[in-house]
Amino acid sequence: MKDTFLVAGREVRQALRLRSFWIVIGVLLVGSSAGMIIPELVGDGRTHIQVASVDLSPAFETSLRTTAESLDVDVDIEVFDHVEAARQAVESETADVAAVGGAAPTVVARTGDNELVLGLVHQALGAEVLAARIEAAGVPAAEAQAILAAPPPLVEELDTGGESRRAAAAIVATVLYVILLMLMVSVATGTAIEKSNRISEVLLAIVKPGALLFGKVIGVGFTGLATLSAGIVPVAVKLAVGGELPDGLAVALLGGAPWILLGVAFYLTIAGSLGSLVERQEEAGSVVTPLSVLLVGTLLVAQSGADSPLGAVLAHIPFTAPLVMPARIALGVAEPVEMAISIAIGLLALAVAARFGSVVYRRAIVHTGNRLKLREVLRRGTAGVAA
Amino acid sequence: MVNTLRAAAISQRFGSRVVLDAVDLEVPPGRVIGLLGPNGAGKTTLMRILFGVLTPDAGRVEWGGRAATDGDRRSWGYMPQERGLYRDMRVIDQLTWIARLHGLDRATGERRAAVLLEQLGLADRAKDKILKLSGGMAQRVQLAAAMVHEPSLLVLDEPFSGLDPVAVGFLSDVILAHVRAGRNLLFSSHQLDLVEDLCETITLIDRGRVVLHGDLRALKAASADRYLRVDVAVDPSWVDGRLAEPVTTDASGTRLRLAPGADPGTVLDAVRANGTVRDFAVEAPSLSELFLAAAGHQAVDDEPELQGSNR
Repeated sequence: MKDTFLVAGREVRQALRLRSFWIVIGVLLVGSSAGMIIPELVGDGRTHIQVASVDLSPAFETSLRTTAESLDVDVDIEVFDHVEAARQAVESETADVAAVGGAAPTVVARTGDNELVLGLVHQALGAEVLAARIEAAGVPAAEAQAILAAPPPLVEELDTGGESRRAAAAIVATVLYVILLMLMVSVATGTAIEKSNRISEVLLAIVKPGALLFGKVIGVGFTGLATLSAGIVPVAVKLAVGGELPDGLAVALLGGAPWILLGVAFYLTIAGSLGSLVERQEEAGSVVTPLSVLLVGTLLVAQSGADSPLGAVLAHIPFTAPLVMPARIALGVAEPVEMAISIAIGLLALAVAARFGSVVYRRAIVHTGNRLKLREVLRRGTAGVAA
Repeated sequence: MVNTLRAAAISQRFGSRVVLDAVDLEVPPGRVIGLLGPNGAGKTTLMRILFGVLTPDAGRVEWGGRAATDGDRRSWGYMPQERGLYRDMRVIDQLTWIARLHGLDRATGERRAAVLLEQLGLADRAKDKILKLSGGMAQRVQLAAAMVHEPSLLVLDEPFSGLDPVAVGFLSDVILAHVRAGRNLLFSSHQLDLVEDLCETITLIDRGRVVLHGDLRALKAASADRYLRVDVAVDPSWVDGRLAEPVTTDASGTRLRLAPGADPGTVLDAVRANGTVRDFAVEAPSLSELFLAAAGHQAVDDEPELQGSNR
């Protein structure tokens, strides 16, 4: 075990010496920070509307402000003496909408404007007319206003933040895809370099093949997760100070952590062993191409159909779960039972991958002369192959 | 502790090719042991088996009279034929890291690495990356990597390959110092003439089989073959083919193989009758000649070394 961590430690130290590692860390840190800070600077998430009113009573204003507040809408009301002036304000876009009282109550708006604004003003204008009729029926004006100022019914939203959750699922899946792809190529390339430079021969005389493979997987995986954490730190800081995050983002990162770790360990173990099949560093990318293609297909499902029946199935398959399950968690459709089953299958698959990787690596890393086929390595057992 | 490395009846096949066929090898402490033979003979495969990099089809590797363990192997040092170093790693970091893999703590590893680099004339390059070193310097770092943990057994695969005469002399001194300290040393080479003066005990291997083994001086003494060296170019017609035949002729003269029972003085007289001889000697067979007699062919690079895996 000590050997494994010595090998992993070397990988980490060498990565820390690379300028490219720090550049990626910096880019992720800045990008994520910007994503967390900019929405705070741009606005507080409330809608502001400018209303021009003509010939309207206080009941209009009371009704409009009460309803608007319940929908997180701020209202500025400017009173005009003439209809034409109010209409001019709307045309020149200094007002979003004009409400005209009197004998023929009218709402003036630009074509195609926000229906929320129209609905708010339309409802308040209706309340104005209603208040006038209540008053005409003999109810005192103050009492009529009190009746109309009653809070509107509560609105129960069944899909709160649905779009935000979908975006969070897509973001998390995409970031994981990129990280996995980069790390797979990195670990396969590292293995190929050690094989082509005969470093592996020196090391195999000292430590066991498994220590070399898993040390590299742990080292590269650690640096990859450290890179990912650079993007997560601003999110965590914002969460810690009580800031609001897009729905689903925090839960996907926290709840999806086991699948992120499993995915990195699973894919990197396989990629590392496949890297031992090739003779030259340049061939390392091609040897992980089947895994890359699989990840692309998985990403598409995770981005657009994680909550579909297909997504539910893929969340249980070790090759696809690392991207699909965090997306399902972000969407809020992952059930505890399916998560438990998926974790169990993932752990089992990781054990199988470790065994598979160890066998392939052990047989292939000392073979030189030509590129090996995976089938050849698995089939030959102890028979050996001449270069 | 004084131990002997012993490989017994090692056999190895790669597919249908027999690479090693019941090979025996013994490496006692305090002696320079040469594993010699042409490329493709199976030397590298045998060394890989000694270190457990390959598992043989048959045979066993013993250290101190019992089966060699991973712990035993960790105390050995191995320098492979092809240099294996991380090119983007600093020299001192690489040596310290390898020392730690061998079980040394960081401080001891760094101290050992620094001492070795001083001995090998690389102290001022300790903080350079390997890729900034010349081939000769990198080779010395590779040697340091094999010795950084003060191995009880040092195994060098073709260490003289590609070295200039100065480097050969330097490496020979390192080898002799190791065995004089009472430790075990095995090296391989296909350049028999180059390493003849260095070897004390040899195992000659050809096409996976041991063709000659033993103390080099005793083997030479036991050989019935004798050679006459003269400092003149000898034409074959000068000597009776039944008495001697020229085997090599170069700028320094001619080497003649004497027929069994032939009188060297008679052959020398025949040469002197045709040319002026200022220097001559009757010699035992060289290492190459011993190989030729044992294997039936020259120890030339007739085929590439087999490489493969069975693990």
